[in-house]
Amino acid sequence: MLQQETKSTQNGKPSVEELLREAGPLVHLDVLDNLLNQARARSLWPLTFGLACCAIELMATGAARFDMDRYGAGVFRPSARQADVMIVAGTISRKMGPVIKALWDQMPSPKWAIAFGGCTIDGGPFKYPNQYAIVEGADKLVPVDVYIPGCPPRPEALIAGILKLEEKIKAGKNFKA
Amino acid sequence: MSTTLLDTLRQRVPELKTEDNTSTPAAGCTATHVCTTADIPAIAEVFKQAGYCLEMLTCLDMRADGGIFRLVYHFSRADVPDRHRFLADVEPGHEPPTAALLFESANWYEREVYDMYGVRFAGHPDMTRILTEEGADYHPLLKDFGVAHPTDEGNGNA
Amino acid sequence: MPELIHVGRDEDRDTYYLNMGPQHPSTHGVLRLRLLLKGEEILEAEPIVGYSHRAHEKMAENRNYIQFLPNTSRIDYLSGMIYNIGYCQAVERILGLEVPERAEYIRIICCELNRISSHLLWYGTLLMDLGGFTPFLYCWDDRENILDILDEVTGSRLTYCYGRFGGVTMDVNDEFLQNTLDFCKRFRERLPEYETLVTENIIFQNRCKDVGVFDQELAQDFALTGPILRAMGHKRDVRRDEPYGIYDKFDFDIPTLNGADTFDRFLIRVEEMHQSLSIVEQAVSRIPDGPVMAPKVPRKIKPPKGEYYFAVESARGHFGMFIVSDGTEIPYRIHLRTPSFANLSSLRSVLRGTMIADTVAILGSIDIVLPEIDR
Repeated sequence: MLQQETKSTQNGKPSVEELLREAGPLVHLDVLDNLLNQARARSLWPLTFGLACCAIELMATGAARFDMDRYGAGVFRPSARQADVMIVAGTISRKMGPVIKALWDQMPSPKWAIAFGGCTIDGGPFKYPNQYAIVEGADKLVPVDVYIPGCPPRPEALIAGILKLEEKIKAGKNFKA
Repeated sequence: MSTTLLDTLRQRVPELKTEDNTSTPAAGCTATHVCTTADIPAIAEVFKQAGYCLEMLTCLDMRADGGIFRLVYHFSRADVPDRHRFLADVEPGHEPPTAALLFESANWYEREVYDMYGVRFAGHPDMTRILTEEGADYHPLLKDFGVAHPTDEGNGNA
Repeated sequence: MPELIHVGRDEDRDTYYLNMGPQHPSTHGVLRLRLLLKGEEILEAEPIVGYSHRAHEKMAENRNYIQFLPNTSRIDYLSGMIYNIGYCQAVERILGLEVPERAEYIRIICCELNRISSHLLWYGTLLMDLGGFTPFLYCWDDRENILDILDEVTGSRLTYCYGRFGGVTMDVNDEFLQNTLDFCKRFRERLPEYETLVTENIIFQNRCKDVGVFDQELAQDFALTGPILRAMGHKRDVRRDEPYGIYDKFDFDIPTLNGADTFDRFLIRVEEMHQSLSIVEQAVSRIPDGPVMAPKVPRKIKPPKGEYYFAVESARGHFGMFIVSDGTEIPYRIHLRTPSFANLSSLRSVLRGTMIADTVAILGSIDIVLPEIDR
C-alpha cells in the first residue's frame, strides 16, 4: 500500500505529511474511543424537526406506545446546537433545503443523519419528471447514515433504524466534520 | 338565491351574464356569473356589504384555448349556504384590479395566483411570491412549464 | 481595535425583529413567523409559508383521476381519511355514481375516527406547546387505538388510501365494528379524565382565557372556517350546510361558543370529539349488509367538460376541491381550497398587540397543518 502511494509522488520520495498520514495518529486511544462510541450510541439526542407527514410518525415513536426513550434516543432537542442526530422526516422542499443545510452545519460533531421516509431517500411519491418543488433526497444536502423506507415508515421501522445507527456508531464509523 | 342581491348586482354590473346552477349539484354553487376583471371591485363591494366572504380565488391557464387566463372567484356566506362563482378573463400581461382592499383573504390568494401563474394584481399591497423558493424565476402551474425546464430529474436540486 | 458601534438613545431602541421558525418546536411543522416586537409586545406578525410546497396541484395535471388518489391523504396528513374520501365523493358527484349504503356507513365511521385522531393530536401538541408533557402521552395512547382500528382495515397508520370511486377498497368485518365500539366506550371514560387533567387546570385556563380573541369581522374578512369560526358563534359546518355522503341521516350537534378566545377554541374541539363519537356509535349500530363497491364503475374516469366544486368538513374546516375537466382522463386543473390557508392568514391580525409568550398558544389553537397550506 505504502509502496504504491510513494510511487505516485514526485522525486519518488514521500513527503513528511504523507508519511504521517499513512502512519495514522501517533497516539492510539482505541479503548477510549470505543468507550465513547458506546456512550454516544446509547444517548442519541435527535433534533426536534419535522417537515411533513413523517414527522407525525416520528412523534408517535417518541410518544406513549413506542417510547424511543427505551433506546436512549428520546431526548428531542429543539436547538441544533444540542443535538447529535438529525432525523430528516418528510419531504424537503427546495425552499427548505438551505435551512436544513444550515441546521446540519450548526450541529456539533460527531453527528449522524437518518433519512426517514421515501421523500428523503429519493423524492418518494412526489418524484416525477420536471418536479420543481422538492429536493430529491436528503443525501443531496447532508451525509445520510441510515435510510428508512416507507410512506410514512412505521414507528417500528424508525426504532430498527435507530438500532442500526447504534450498531454503526459502536463500530466506530462516525463522521469527522 | 336571494333576488335582492342579484338585483343590486345587476344595477352595479349591467352586462353580467348569469347561469343558474341550482339544478346541477355537481357544479357546487348557486350561480355562475361571467364578468370582466374591471367589474371585480364593484362585485366584491356588493358581496362584502351583503355579508359574504371570499372563499376561494384561483386561476386557470387557458392560453391554448382563447389566449387568456381565467380568474375564478367564489363568494359564500358565513351563515346560510349560498355560493356564487365569478369567471373573469385576463389577457396575458394585463393586470386585473385587486380584491385585497375589501377582503383580506384575497391578499394571500392573489399572491398565490401570481406565484403560480404570473398574473399580477394592480393595487395589491404586497405582490410577492408566497409558496415557491426565494429567487424562483418560473410560474409552475402554467401549462407550458415543465416541458423544457432545466429542473429535470436530479438536475438543479440541492 | 474594532470600531465601537454607538447605540443611540432614541425612542425605538426596544423595537426589533424576531425570526421564529421554520425549525421551531411549536410552529407545528415548517411555518416561519417574522415578528416585529417592542419589548414583549408584538407590533406586526408576518407568517411566511411555502417551506413544505410539494406541487400537489401540478401533479394533479400530470396524472389521471385515479392516480391522484394517493396524493389526497398527504395534503393534510392528520385528516387524510377525510381528504381521501372527500376526493372520491367529489368525483362520484361529477360522474353521478351511486355508492352502496354499507360503503357510506364505513366511510362515515372511518372519517369520524380520523377526525377524533386529528383532534387528539392537536390536543396533545397544544398542551405540549404550553408546557405540559403528560397530556401529550395521554392523547397518543388513545390515538394509537384509533390508528390500530384504521390500520387493520386500510393497511396504513397515517396516509390512508382507502376510498375508491364508487365505494371503499375492502369490507370491514365484525371485529372491526366491535373494536370501534370498544374504543368509543373506552374513550368516553377517558374524556372526563382529560377534563380533570387539563380543562380544569387553573394554569391552563389562565394561559388560554381571553388570549387571542378573534374580532367578529375577521370571520368575513379572512373567510375563516372550522372550529375557529364555530368558537366565534357561527353555526357553520359543511356536514350540515351542504350535506355530503349520508351525514343528513345522523343526529349530531354543531357546538358553538361566543368567546372566540383560545379557551373557547379548545372547548369546541373537545365537544366535537364527543359529537364524532356519537356519530360513530350511530353508524356502527345501523350499518347494513351488502356490497362495498358500486357494481358499474367506468374503467376510465372521464368527467364531462365543465367546472365543479365539492366541499367537505375536515378536522380544520372547509376543504373544497375545484375540479376543471376538459373531457379527458387527465384533470385540466384541481385547485384545493384548504382551510388552514385561510385560517393562518388571519394570524397577522390576531397576533397584533399580543404578548410574544402567547404566540404559541394562539398558533396552537388555530390548528394548522403546513403541507395543507403549502400544498
